[in-house]
Parts: sequence; C-alpha cells; structure tokens
Amino acid sequence: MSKTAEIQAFLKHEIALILRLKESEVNENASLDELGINSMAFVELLIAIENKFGVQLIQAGITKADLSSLKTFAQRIEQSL
Amino acid sequence: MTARQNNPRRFYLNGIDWIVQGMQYNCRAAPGGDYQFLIISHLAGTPDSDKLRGCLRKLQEMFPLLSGRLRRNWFNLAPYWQAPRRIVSKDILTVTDVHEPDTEQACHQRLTDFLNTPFKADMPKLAAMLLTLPDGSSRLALNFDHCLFDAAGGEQLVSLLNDLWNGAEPDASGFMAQEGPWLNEWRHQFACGRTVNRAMQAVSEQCAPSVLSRQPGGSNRYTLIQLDEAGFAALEKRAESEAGPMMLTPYLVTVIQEALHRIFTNRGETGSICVCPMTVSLRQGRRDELFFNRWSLMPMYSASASSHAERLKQQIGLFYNYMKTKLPYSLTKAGLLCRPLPLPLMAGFTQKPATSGTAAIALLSQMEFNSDSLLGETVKELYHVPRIPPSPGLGIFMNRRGAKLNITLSWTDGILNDAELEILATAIHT
Repeated sequence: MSKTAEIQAFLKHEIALILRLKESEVNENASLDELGINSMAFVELLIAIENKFGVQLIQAGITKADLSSLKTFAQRIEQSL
Repeated sequence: MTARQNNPRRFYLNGIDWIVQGMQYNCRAAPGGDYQFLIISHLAGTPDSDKLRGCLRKLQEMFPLLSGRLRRNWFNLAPYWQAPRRIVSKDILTVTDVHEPDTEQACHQRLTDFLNTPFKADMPKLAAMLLTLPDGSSRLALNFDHCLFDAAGGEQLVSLLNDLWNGAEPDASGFMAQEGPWLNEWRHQFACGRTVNRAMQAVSEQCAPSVLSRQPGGSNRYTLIQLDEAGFAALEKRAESEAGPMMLTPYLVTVIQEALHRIFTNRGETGSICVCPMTVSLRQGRRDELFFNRWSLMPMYSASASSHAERLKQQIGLFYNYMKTKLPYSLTKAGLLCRPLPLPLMAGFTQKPATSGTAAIALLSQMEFNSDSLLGETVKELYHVPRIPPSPGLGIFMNRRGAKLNITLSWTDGILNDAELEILATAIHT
C-alpha cells in the first residue's frame, strides 16, 4: 500500500468516526465540505492527523483544492511529512 | 450507572446542566423571563389550532419531564430533574390574530413579549404561540426552558411535533436518555478540572474583560439578520480567503470580536480584551438526546490592540488548542464537581466577567429539523431566539438552514444603543 493510500484510508476511518458514519458511507471522491465537515469537525480531523503522523496542518496553507477529495488531502499530508 | 434503574422518574443533571441552572437562577433574580429560547417558524399557511393543541397535549403526556422540577439527592447532593408521577396535560398554545397595519412590527413585539414571559410554576416547561396574519400565513413560536432543552434538542422536539401532526406514534422512552449521578471517575473529573482551570487562568492572565452589561438585567430584545444564499456564499468566500478553508467559525468569532472592540473603543474603553464564550455541540447524533444540555464552551478572547490578521491567527490557534486539550469535554466533566455547590453560589460563578464574558456566541451548523414542511405548511423561515442571562447580556446565535444563515442578536434592553447594534450587524454583513 502506498503512503498516499495509507493516509487516505486513515482519513476515511477518522471522518467516519467524527461524522458518526459507517466507513462505507464516506465518499472518497467528495470534498470535505460535501461530506458535511464543519470547522469543528475539521479541527478534530487535523488533531487526529497530528497525533498519527506528527504533522501540524493548522494554518499551514491548506487550500480548498487540497480538500477537494480524500486523495488530494492525503497527497497534501504526504507532502508535509 | 445503576441509580437510573432504581427510579425511572429521576434524571440526573450533567455538568453543563448545572451551569445552565446557575444561569437560570440569574435570569430569575432579574426582571424578565427565564433562561429560555424560542424557535420561530414562518409558515406559508395557518395550521389548524385545535389539531396543534392536541399534538402539544400529546407531547406533555409522552414526556412527563416537561412538567417536572429540580430536586437534589439528599444523600449525595447530586441534582436531578424529577418527572411527576402522573400528569394532567395543560393547554400551552396561545393563538393570536395579528390585525395591525405593520404586521412585521406587531409580530416582533408579540414574540419579544413571549420570549420575556417566564414559565409558571404549575405549567410545563414548553409553551407555544401561533400568530395568524391577514394574508393567511402564520408564525409559530415554541418557547423552551433551557434547563430542559438545548438548541438542537429544541429542533428535535419541533421535528417530533411535526411527526405527531403527521400521524406518527413514536415511543417516548426512546427519546429520554437517563444517566446515573456520575459519582465515579473522581480522578478523571479532577484531571478535567485542572484542564479547565488552566484555560481559565490563561484568560484571567489577560487584563479584565470588557463587559457590556452593568445592569441587573431586564427585558430581552432581539433582531434577526438573514444572509441569503448569495450573502452566505460571499461570507464563506471571505472566510476562506482570509482564514483558510473550513475556518468559518473562527472567522465569525474574529469578526464579532472586532465589532465589539469597535463598540468599546467608541465608548472610550481601550486596552481591554473581549471574551466570547463560544458554544460547541457535543451531540452524538442519537435519538435519545432530546432533553438536557449537550454542549460546552470555549472562552475565545482577543485584545483590542491586535490587527485583523493577528486576531484571526489567534482565534484559529485558540480554537485548535482548546480542541486539542479537550477543553469542551473537560468542562462537562469539571462541571460535575460543581454540583454540590448551592445554586446561588453557582449562579454567582456564572455571572463573573471572566466566565460569562463580553458576549456569548453560538453556531448551530447542523439542523435537527431540516424539513421544508411543518404542520402541513411550507416553512419559509426557521430561526432561534435565545434569551440571554443578565451577564453577559448579549448573545449572537447563528443557525445554518440549507445554504442560508440566520443570525440572531439578542440583548438585555438598554445595554446597546442603535448605533452599536448597527456596528455588529454591519460587521457580519460585510
């Protein structure tokens, strides 16, 4: 499994936990906004990422394009590692 | 916990419920209403009032809790809400025809009066008002006691009322989560208390926060600011370009704080800080979260001297750090430790400037009631109007409805003048 795929799987798992959904209900191609993530849920996700990968992404120049799908977000995280 | 099995009519209060009881005490000590809030819906038609009355009676029969009262366990001092053994349902609906030429103004006045009407001791902690307008439309306002409902719980009840209207017969027991008195996990509760203390200490290390309200309280007034689809999209775009994606909440907090700083500067107060306790939802999305308070607070603060960019950065940082240290969760646990306190002492604590803050902020981003139809009529608008305790005396409540945003400014009469209200309204709009 590539690093991007590993991060993507982690994101899917965490988003399902935060939004209280089944993992199968998280559409990997949807943007975070479309998935129903709000500010609080997003911060929860960033904290989970920091705890898992040791990278702090708050105020790190994340763009809307980075959050357009789980794959693009995973790629952005990978760049920061 | 086991206590719940022992007495099915006993609902122990959580830490936030006890803080809310303190706020209720402060509201009761001042003129005006209780610590309560309205959910107001603008309906395209007028629902049948007799049928509505029947549904409201059914709610009371389903949930005796509505006619309950606050008690305290004499042995362990844990406060609880006691449902009565049996209830006689009351008529809680007031129907009023609005005939005045200025319909909007007349409705606003009646709804303001409704917001300022406390619940009578022998009546349920829920009331309803139906205003019928000459054009055939109507306004339905449900008045909730905050001791029993939070904003999302109120919407859940609106949804349930709609279900009853449509002929559903839901099982009441599925809506009432019962908890034990939380007389365990003491070490954990004290650890959470330490987290809260550190956060409060960080606030108190700043200079004393500015306060709007130096009055003992009084009637509550409100105004509604509505952002339509285009207005809300523009706001989100601004938030994204200045604060980054998904940072609407800290952006709004920043904008509100800047408006507050402008108000204080105009009053001649400089070098102060604004503290805005911001509520965050701790709901799990369960059906049985209808009653009691499932939210927490984060004390967002900023100094008047900061620039816009600095303040925005600080608010995002605060938001992140509070979440990282689990402050919202810790506050609910630490609140449990305060439950043995006598209510007047608890009320005094919630009234201090460092804890009550300059203005309260709440954002409800996930609606519990999403339907376009209520009681068989099209919903044109639905928004919340909270009554604000004497301290801080100003609250800004935002609720998303689809692609629109409703913002309610609610304040104790006399603490803000029209020009100051305009500063707040303009800040959010532009």
